[in-house]
Amino acid sequence: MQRYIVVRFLQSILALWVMSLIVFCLARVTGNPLDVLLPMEAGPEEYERIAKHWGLDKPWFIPQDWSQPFDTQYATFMGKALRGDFGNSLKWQGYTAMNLVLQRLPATLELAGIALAISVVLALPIGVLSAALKDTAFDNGGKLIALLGQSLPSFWLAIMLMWIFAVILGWLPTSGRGGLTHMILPAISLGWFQVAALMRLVRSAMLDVLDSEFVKLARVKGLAEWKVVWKHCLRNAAIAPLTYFSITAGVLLTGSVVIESVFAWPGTGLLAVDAVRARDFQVVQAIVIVFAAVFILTNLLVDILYAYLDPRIRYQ
Amino acid sequence: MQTWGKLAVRWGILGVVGLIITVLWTSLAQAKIQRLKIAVAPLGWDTNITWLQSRSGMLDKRPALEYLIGIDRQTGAYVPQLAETWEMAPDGRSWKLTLRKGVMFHENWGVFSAKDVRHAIFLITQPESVQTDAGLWRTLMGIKKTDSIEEGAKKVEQHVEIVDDHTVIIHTELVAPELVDTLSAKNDLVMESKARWDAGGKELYVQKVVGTGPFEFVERKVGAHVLYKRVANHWRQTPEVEELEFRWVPEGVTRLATLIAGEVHIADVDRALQQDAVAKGMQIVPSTQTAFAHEWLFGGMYFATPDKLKAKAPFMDKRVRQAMNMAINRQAVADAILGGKTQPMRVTRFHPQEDPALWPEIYNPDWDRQYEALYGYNPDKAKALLQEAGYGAGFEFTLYLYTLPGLPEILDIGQALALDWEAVGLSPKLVEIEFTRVREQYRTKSIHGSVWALRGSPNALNLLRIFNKAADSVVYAYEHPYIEERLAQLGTVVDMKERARLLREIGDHKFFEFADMPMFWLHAEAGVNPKFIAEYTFPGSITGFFTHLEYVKLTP
Repeated sequence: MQRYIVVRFLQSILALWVMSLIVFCLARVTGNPLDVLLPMEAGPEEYERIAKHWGLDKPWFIPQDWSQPFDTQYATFMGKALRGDFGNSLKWQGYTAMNLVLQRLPATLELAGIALAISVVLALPIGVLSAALKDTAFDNGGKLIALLGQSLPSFWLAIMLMWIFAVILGWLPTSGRGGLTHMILPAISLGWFQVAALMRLVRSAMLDVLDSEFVKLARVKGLAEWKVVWKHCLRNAAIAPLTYFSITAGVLLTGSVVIESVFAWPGTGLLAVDAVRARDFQVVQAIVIVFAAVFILTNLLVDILYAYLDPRIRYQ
Repeated sequence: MQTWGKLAVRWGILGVVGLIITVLWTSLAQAKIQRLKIAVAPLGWDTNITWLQSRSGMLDKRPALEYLIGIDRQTGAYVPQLAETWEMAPDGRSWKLTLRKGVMFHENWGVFSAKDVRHAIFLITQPESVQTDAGLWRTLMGIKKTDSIEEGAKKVEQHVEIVDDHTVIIHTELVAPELVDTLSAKNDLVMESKARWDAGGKELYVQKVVGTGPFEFVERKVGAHVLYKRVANHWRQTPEVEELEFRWVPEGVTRLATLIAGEVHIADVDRALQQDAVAKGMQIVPSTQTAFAHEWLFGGMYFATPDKLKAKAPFMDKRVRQAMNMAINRQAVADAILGGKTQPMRVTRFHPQEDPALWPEIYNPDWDRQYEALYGYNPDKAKALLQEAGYGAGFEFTLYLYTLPGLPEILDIGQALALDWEAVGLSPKLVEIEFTRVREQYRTKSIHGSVWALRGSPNALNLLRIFNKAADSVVYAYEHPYIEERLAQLGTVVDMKERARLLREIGDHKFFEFADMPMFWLHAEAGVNPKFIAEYTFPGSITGFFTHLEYVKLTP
């Protein structure tokens, strides 16, 4: 088990490095940040001056002067990144890139956490009960929720919820970050799709397990039905939803761009979009590395959980 | 007994209804707001540093800052602000300013004086400055691109002469008869405290915006809002509201929702949503002055740079340019896409009212008189012109589509123009593209055979320097030796009438050569919730539009 964790950890570090290389190149391929950030009135002299000031005049990888082999953009980036410094933001002047990401991360974590909680709290029981009560009114209701959840675009749902509950009824605030009331609409909009997807997955996994021989045996032995369903079946059906849960956690953290934009929620999703639009290399790099780290860490944890849940993985 | 019972029930119901009405009434009766909240789309910048952003980024700092010369919110005229008087020397190379006495910086950073003016020019010219006017000020101060921050500071010291605490003379390397505009709130030279810089430099400036304005900075939550509180007994105008908040709301629908729900009191409402806003009882308040112009440009008009010119390209032919202008149904575009709220533009960025304030007689009334005959919608004449030019069978060209802040309708306008041009036999190829890609092309003079759109503020001379100068310029839209000659003269001529004549000659050239496709002048518009706001008047001629917030009158 220890060797398994060490190997997975080393693989994660390698994945992070590859990710840094990809994001470094892709950010620069999109074009020159000066074309976004300099005013329309800026002439060639301003371009030259600011490019030099921001280090954008240096080559990407191959130094112009081999007596200074580290005088490249990538060497500068990696040298600083290894110390946790992703440089100063070009768009948000006066802030470091990592500082901005860390400032905005709590808002995203807060929103994603609640959305995730909503999706698990709703999807798990509905999925389990739908499977246990297959083809009943409850199951049909569950299927309808799944259908609506997966077919309603999240931005549309978000706008509808906002107009109904904030503008027409006036029960909740329209947008922005504040207390608990500010979180309700964005969290529902964000979690709605995941509820449907996770519920479908739990239902189908449970249906497979409910049909297994060991379940029949448990019932024959006279075990209480709730114990059969909630203890024995759910644990055996957990692998597929768990895999999806790890993806969901990552998606909710990084994929809240639309919802953050609609609800003016100052999280990292919105930050990422703004940084990409402004070609703010530093912030884009910092965000992608943080997101990648979150994804990799989540996957690592899920892999370890697999090993815990399934002894066959543990003993491989 | 039964009757008594019924009566009791009736009175009970009446009482409950009365109670509900009272509660509703008291809750509906709005108390005067304490914090004025404004929802706007996020700016390109979110920083407290005034020189590390372009002009549009000033919107959220203007409440705390003041300029030497202000802009009247009703008339758009230059009015004294921190400078009481300004006067140009006969040679046009120096301006004497008398400064207002006794104006205090926020947080007790001392009294505003001449050294702060010099400091403001130092800030905008330092090497890292990206402010819109940074290049202009560096040129005026004689600062070269190789100059260090210390060398630059020394040049500023030499050029900005402090006569006494309240008199300053700005000497410039070139004639600068329009410096009044450069010093005004339409542009970038904000007054910040030299004492504060001496105390903590950039580190201190990063933390707060400190000026002499009617609002004092409280906090900035990056990506969320900026908050100010009012300055009691401000020398110019003490705001009625105690606090002011700019809230960043990226989506137009959400901004409208926040306005209708009463969470904000003024909002930037997209034109497409304005009818919905009005239907919900909101008001759309237009600026008192023209806010910006919209034009379409021909690519590759490099008549003053022969090695960049593709002489056989269709746009080189003046008849083709006229035909493309005459094929456009401007009225239909204005009515269908811009709600009819436009003013026609005859020559790109030559404004009939605003430019004459600087250069009397710059505007040629012939442009108005001859516009219909030369530019008016006439597809038959357009086809005939194309035939005459040898393009009866049409030709293919690229039409770039992208959005620009303040005018998202450019996409729709572009599509409408494409239909108009197809109707006269041309074949526009619509290409959706990020604006920055187009910017790369025009600033490197490689945008041949394409048409593209821009928007911007009025000022004929600025436009000519940016769009129509052949070297050391920015946009390189239409250049010509005739314009070059006159721009060179404008670098030495001081007399405003003579300058107006030169500018008008350039305007004539552009008008009769069909240099580009002028479209409209537009006003800025603010969505206002009348439950809270009784009056909001803003000129619109200042970039960012939501200015003069200290004069907002609340609904009693």
